[in-house]
Amino acid sequence: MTTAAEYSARLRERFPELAPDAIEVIDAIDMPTIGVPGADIQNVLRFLHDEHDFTMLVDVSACDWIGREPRYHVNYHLYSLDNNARVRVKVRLPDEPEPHVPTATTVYIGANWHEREVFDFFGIVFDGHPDLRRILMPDEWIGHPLRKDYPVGGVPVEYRIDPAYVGDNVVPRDARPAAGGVPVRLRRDRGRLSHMTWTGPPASGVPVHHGSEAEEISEEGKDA
Amino acid sequence: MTQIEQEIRDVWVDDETMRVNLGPQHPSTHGVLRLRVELDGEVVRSVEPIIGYLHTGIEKQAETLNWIQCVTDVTRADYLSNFFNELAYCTAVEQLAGVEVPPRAQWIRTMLCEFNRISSHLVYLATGGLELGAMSMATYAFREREQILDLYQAITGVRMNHAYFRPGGVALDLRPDHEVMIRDLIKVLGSRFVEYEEFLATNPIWVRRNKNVGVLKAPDAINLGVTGPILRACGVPHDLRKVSDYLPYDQFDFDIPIGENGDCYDRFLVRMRELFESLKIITQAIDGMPSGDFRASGKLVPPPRNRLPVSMEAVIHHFKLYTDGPHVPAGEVYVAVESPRGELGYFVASDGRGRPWRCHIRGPSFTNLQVAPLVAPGYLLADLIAILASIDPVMGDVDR
Repeated sequence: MTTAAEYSARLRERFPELAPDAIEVIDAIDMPTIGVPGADIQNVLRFLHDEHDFTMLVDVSACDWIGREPRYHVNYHLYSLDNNARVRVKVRLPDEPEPHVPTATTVYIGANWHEREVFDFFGIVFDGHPDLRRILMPDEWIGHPLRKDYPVGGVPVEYRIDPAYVGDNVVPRDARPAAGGVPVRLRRDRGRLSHMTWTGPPASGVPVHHGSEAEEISEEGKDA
Repeated sequence: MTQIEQEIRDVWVDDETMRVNLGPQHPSTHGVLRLRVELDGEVVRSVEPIIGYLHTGIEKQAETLNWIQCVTDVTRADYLSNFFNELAYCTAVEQLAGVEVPPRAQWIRTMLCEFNRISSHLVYLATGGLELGAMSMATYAFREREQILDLYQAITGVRMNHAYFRPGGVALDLRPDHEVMIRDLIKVLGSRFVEYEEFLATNPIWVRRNKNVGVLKAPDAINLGVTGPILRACGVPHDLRKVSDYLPYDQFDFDIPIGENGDCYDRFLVRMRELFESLKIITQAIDGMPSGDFRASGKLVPPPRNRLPVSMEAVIHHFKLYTDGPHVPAGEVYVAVESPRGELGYFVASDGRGRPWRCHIRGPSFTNLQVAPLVAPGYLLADLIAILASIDPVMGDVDR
């Protein structure tokens, strides 16, 4: 089985113009893992596809290591049907509002939806993608939900409220207005919500009790 | 241009073709899949799947749960093959933690996964038959699936979303009466599958609606990342059960059925043959079920119940496990298992604390659904339903 160091050596041989430390060997327990610069991802994937029979791109996923630099990891998991081999190519991107990386759809057409998903959830822009839109979240969504600074449960629940019930002024059932009620305005401003579950930068070595933070009543709750 | 004119232009692309929304509320879209179809009369020009209607944020939620609670979260992703979700997640956690699963637990997992493959393929037969006019297939297949779900209930306590596989093993041991149930069920299923194959494979309507429809070529399938029965129907004998060691499949004797043409009929045949192969595995599993522990020992699993009254360490361990949750060493791992729909992959990252830092689910249906826009153009609208049925997407797996 080819190790990550061998892949890295072959890549360096094939692309001598790269900086000597551009192709990085990363320790992993499951499969050979190499880290490459984002700008060279197409060349690397093309090389692995053509010369090492990695004909299948099974997955593109991202991971937000907030607090570390570089913050975003984009993982390409490749599989070779002929050799039953796997390799992970990792691109690390800095902490920017819109990190950019070239698309893999020029090599694997199946990367199309995977990259849309990563864009949707992490806001990572794949340059040259044929159709980079949100895929799972609604088109008009604001924010990228799988980023660690995006709160869990950050969407106000849309419901209707009966003005007769507001405050202590409870009106008997038969004295209430007949229909409808007033729709509560759905606020799209995520910045004001306070249900945060992210509890700090990773791997400080200290276990964190996620549930122990007092859940403050959000601005929305007070309004209602 | 007025707004109404604009809307009309959006619907009528030009004089000849029309855009039609199939779904998201449509009985043949397997849940809430929406297809925007451009039609030229009855002929499909292009298909655009619009997904996300069942997005429930499973990956985001996993980051808020501890390593054991997470099983109950991920099992809801592909709700027709729950055991595979649990298996892939638990295997990933075990690899991160370096825990060895005892043989009995592995064999129980193997057996239940194969039952799950059968119950999932039965839903394919039922809904596929329903959509293509073989309506009685729906009642027959769901009848057998119900019996399998009863078995799940006896073993795990629930019919779906079991959370039965836990990191380190399974939640409960098999009881002796389960063996009787399983043997009875094997007898019933074996005879029924023969009936089903006869019922559909000799049914002229079923054959004509499926043969030479939705042909997918093997190179396209590989480049798209398609796996599972759809890839095997193209003639590629790829099955992770044969080439991977996440479960002891090397100790079982079974074949990988493959197709030739890559059309809807071959996908049906591959799944039909897989039913028989899964039964073979279950029979061998129940015959050779090893004795021993049903879960590993260590910090990832609770202590044995009988240790609690006599050992202070066991009490501390139990308390820490259920208040704080286990801690898993930092690292990243990608685990792929062969689910009824193809390669189900879990990318799990840990930062060394009590919760997954990231739990990414590579759903096979998500990738396989990209087949529809590739193969459907040129076929009739009715064939699109056959293609969709043969892809067998589960929207919980697509949208997660």
